[in-house]
Amino acid sequence: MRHTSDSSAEGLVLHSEPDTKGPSRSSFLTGMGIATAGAAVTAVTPNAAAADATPPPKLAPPSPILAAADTKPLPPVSADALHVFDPGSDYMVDVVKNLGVDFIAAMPGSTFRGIQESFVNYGGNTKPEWITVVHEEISAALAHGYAKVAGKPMAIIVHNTVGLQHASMALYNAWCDRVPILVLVGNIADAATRRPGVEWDHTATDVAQMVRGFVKYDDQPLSLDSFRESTTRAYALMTTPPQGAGLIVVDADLAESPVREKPAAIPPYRPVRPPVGDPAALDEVARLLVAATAPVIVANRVARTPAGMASLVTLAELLQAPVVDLAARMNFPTDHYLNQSFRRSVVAEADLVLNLENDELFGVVDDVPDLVQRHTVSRVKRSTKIVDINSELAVGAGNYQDKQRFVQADIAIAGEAEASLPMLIEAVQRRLTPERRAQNAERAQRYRAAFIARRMADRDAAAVAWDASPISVPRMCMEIWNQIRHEDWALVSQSQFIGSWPQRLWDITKHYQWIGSAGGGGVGYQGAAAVGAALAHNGTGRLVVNIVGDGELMVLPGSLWTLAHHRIPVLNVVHNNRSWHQEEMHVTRIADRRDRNPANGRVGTVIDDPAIDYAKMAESYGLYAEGPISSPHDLAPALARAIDAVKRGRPALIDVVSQGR
Amino acid sequence: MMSRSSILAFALALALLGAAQNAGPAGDPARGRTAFFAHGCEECHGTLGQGNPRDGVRIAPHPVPYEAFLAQLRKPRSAMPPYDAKILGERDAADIYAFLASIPAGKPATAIPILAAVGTGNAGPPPKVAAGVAHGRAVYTQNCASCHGADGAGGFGPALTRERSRKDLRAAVSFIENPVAPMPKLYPSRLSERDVADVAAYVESL
Repeated sequence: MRHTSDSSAEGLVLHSEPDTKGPSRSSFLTGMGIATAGAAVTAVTPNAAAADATPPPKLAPPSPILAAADTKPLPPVSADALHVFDPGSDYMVDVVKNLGVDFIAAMPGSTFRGIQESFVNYGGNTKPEWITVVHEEISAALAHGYAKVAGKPMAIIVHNTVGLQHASMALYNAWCDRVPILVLVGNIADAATRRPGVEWDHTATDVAQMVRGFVKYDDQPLSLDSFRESTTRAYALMTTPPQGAGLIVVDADLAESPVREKPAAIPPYRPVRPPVGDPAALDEVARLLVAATAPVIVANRVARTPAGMASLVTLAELLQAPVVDLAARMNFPTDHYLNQSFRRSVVAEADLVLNLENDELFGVVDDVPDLVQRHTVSRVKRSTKIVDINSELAVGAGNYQDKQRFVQADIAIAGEAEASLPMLIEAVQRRLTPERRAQNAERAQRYRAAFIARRMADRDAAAVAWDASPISVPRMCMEIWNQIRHEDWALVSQSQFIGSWPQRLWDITKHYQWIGSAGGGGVGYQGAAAVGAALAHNGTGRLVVNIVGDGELMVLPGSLWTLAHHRIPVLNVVHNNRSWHQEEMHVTRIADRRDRNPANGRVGTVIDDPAIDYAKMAESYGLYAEGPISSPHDLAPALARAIDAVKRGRPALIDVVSQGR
Repeated sequence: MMSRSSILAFALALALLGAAQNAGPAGDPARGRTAFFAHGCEECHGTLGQGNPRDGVRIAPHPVPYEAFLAQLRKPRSAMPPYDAKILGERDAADIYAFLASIPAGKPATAIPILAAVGTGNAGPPPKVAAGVAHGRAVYTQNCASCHGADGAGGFGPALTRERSRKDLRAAVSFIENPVAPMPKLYPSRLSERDVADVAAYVESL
């Protein structure tokens, strides 16, 4: 029932299909009668002579059941040859609204024009509100950052084929980070309704095929009822740990045409409870933990919510066990003496490693150093017991190898850590005797001293090259910290490329104060994810900070425009080492191993001729911007001015010419 | 019996020999800076040799003795790639070392207000340590941290955490005074008897 028009050599030819009278069964059946009587009136007629030569097939009259169904009360006639008054996409918007989706990000694409119009007009452009971006990869990375702060998914909608391909890398990052995104993709399923040319380029028979290895669920519904069911199922699956994106194809015909058959009412959404570990197995884990003399907790995606962080603190304090936070989420306060994340020696000394919601267990208990011979080395004692509580254990892996090497745990429990922790804590409390509590308290003293030594060592290390130019990375981080520490703040960037200095020296104590690291290693995440994260923080009064590498920012610089366009305040600080620095080190390392010129490690890995002026670039997108700042003495005043702009609601960017790491 | 003046002269000669050992062959700091960048040293160790927690240890100020520096350069421990004479000759090595040795020590963290304000979280205040241990920590930071890590967690050199379970204080003192290569011998040229005793006490506290 799509009506399209084409310019051709013969002039404007109107294409329409038989049921131009609207969506009701009555009119549909009536239409069939009309078609039977005189097909030439409504059939596609590029060539009238040909149409006359081929009479339409005769249609049987409707069955009694069908005829009876047709006598039901029907909605008013919803379309004529020029109008559609109750498009299917309105219902689709109701389905999305029912899931509590607050935002939808998109770069426009004609395959989803029908549902776009419904979102902004029928849906009132609120819950979800349309967020305009200039690249589909920004849509997906933005939604990735949003979900990590908001604790729930937002939607994106992409043009089929070209748009989904653009979005795919960011969807892969989200997959590796186990982050939910509701992905809607426009498509024109019925080949007979596609216009010649580009609509064929922008359709596919298996739309999700190109990303199926890294989304949790996909479907291509062809009725409004199945759209409701599939979209709701997608949301339920993707928000149940381990989380991931869900992809629903929005058929353009279904979206743009009048409602053919009234779909069922939309029931309120009921979330799926996360999977909890087996109680008997958790009790056995509690027994081992209480008996251990040097237990270590390794956490990665534990704190799905603030409650997860609180539970982890409770468990660690009950056991006086050090926590190694691998930091995909804000799991554990950085100022807590049991945070021993930068003292991996605790793992070597452990008699029990409790692995929580971490798919990188191999990297905790073993290692493959970057040497010519890639030998596996163990990081734990042979006698160390391994306990794994992890929702990952319940799902398989396919083509992509993000699950890493298999480690045989002594006890493996397929349950989500945050959901299972309350039961584990209760079991530990039951088993802790006064004598054991006293022994644990003695252990605490050792970890207090170690924490202090580590903090002071990091502090001393940060002082070295404090006045260097290019500006040292710890100085950049600590100048930012000095300006935000008395504010209500949030850091929305990963830290692995800035030496984890915020985690070493900032007091990060609240769940919302840090977004956690990214997944997948797809460059370009940071600039766009920060937009989504800042969107989630928007309205809270928090001062949002994004430390972004220059190589990262240059992949999706257009994400800055979305900040300005939607007035999303965030302080961007560009860690501008004028290099894809990690890659520079890699190539130099290989040259060294081969006794060849290491200086050529810079060929293809540096971004310095010409040096990019990020402040000018940001200004052109509408941000407040300063830089390049090379002298450390100029940094604090520039940050202060930028923060002032942010507090007045304007996104800002400071370009800091910095050391490599 | 040696006269008092003879003893002083002998001690001075020893000190000079030690200093010469530590300083390595004469090098040109300016040329060394160029070589430092040309060979990509700054990629991991920073433009002033300050290092970073992830990729390269601190190598300045106060570089390790030249022999240890050269040993690490040619046959590195840890994941550092080798720099053979074919790509980094003796003169370049000497010049780079001279550059590293010329880098002045900056202000300590306690003299930088932003860093001085760094707290110890809920671990409580830093424990009061014996004056000797505090002095030992300062000696360690200047002379040992570049190989063994800022907090003894290891680097070029092995980790020293829980060293007390392997050597008692007397054994630690003895090892520092008479180390096994490639650990450099810093006593008595660079470290006094008190320095050795205090740094051993500090290491035993890790």
